[in-house]
Amino acid sequence: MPIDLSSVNPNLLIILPPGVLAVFALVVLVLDLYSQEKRWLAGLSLVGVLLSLVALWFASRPGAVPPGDYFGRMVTADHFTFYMVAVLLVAAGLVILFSMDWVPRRLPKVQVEYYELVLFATLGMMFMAASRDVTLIYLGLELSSQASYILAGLLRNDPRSNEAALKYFLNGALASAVLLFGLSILYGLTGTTYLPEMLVALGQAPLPLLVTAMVFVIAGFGFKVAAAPFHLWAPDAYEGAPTPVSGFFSMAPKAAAWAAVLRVFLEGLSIPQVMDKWSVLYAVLSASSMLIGNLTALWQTNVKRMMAYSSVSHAGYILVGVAAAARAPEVGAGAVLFYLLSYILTNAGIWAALVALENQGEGTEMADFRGLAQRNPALAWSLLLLFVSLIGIPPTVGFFGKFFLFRAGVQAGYVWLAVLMAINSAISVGYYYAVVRNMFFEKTEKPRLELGSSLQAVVALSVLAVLVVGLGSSPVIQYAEAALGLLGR
Amino acid sequence: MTAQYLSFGALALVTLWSAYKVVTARLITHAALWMALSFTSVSGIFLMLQQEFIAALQVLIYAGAITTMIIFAIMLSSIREIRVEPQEKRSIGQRIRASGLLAVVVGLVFAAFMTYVYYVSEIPKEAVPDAGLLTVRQVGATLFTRFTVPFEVASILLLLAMIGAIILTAKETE
Repeated sequence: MPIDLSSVNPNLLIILPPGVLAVFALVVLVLDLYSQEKRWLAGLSLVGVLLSLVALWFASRPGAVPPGDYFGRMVTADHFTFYMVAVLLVAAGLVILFSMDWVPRRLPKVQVEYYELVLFATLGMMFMAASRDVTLIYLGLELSSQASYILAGLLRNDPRSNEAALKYFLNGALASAVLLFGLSILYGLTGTTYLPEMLVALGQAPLPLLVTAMVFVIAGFGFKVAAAPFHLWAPDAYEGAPTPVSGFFSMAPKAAAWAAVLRVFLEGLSIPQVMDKWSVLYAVLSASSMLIGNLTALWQTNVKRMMAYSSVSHAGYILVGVAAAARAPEVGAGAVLFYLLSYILTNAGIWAALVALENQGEGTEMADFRGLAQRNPALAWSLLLLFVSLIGIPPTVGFFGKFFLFRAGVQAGYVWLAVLMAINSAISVGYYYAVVRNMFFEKTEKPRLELGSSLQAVVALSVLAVLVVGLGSSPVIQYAEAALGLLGR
Repeated sequence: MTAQYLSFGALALVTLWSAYKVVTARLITHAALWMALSFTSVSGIFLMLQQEFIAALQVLIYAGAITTMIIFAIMLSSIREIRVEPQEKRSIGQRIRASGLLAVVVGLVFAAFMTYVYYVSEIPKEAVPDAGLLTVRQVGATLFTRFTVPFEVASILLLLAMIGAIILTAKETE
């Protein structure tokens, strides 16, 4: 009996972006053994990410890969995949770029492993975004999470880094278990892990069990994206983890988790009986994340910790879009996708500044920002613009991101949530202003803060992107909204 | 039918109890052995589902290879025993936390809730097509056709775990 290969439906072009990344990760791993000089391997990792982006561009040209599922319905070719994979690769590239000066100083023993782990994590996230089968989504999630746990603990002699890794690992393992429990119930009810088939089969599923499974899946993903009340691991993990790693956490793994949330809920659980239920649950999570994140951030004195709470509140903003997506799928999901891009572009510059401070042997306390405008005016003004973007003031990309989320919320009938989002944006001015006040209105004796060329590049790219993507947002949001149109409905 | 329930209940109890002992055992080697027991009783559940091959794999890979790996890892590390320093005065809150009462209560509430949910849900008959007896050939064929990509991702995951273990535990050498 020969094995039937007809169901595989392979397509080399769609697997090329993750393939290129995997090959580069392995090549870097091997070259690490033979090279004395390690710095160029960071450059090689960056080349891998860029080549993967090029491969993605080839795969995403119209007509290059017909929309559909490949490799036994595991890997999906649609706009959603292309958009999210591009966003994740951009995030990985920025992270590698702003780590280049930091890693040889603080992690001399495991320099190359650092880039390895970032590449492997990105690979996992690409599969999370590119699949419509929960098997691969879950495996991708595990790959990226495992890499993240190790990254958090890389500073082996720093107890706070150990604590961060342990907390992240225990919470992450619990989240995985909860998520897997929910997914296993869904599989038991439908007999399939392929989301579109699951959607069809769920019609006859008993409601109590289905809702229970749904709650587990929401809780599992809630941990991964650090939405309150599942966010308790985030501040410690962010504060203790090596600074560039915290930056990575706030950008890439969350974006991938959001992609998985949209996939699972819009493609697998979008039957009318439960759609309104998960929509309301997400709305509640959204409100609590915004309030808890913002109000707690006000009291922080460590900027890394503050950014952790800020990311909790941003998860709340994104959840407005997710809740809205149940009633207005295109607008809601489009707003979420756009916001992910805007958040990553804005955050890259801020974390680059934190990395720059650590490069000069300083900490990341609020006090370390004192007199930054004196020490490096360009950086201080860039940071001001990036905080303005995080608050959501025009003409930055953050404003447009919030505007699209707001519009989605109103269209879906969540006016109260949209209003709450506006109020919370106002609250967030408080803690961002604390940093700005330290930068501009405090005096310092410290010498000029020098940024290496790679850090300068990240800050410049970030500032440029915040302005350009903000003002030129219409093609991006159109692409993002069209992404959902091709989700297979 | 009753025999089926009874044997499932027995296997589930052994699995749960040994999993509990994995977490609470003071000697790490003991924890590893309890884990082997837990894996073995899971393979019993696979046997009940008439999946002999998966059951054999479960014993060979989990109870055999993985437990051996873990014991090797324990031998390579310097940790043998987990000691909890007894504190002189403990507040009531600490005592409650140490007794594991909370875990038991949460576990029971959870079990009761899930039982209730399963009880009120009418699970449609034949919702899941009967997989029948999986042959080695079928498992292999599925693994290398439909599940090629997840299979490769799982391999990378294992490689990553190995790299991570080495990074986090390797001795600092000059």
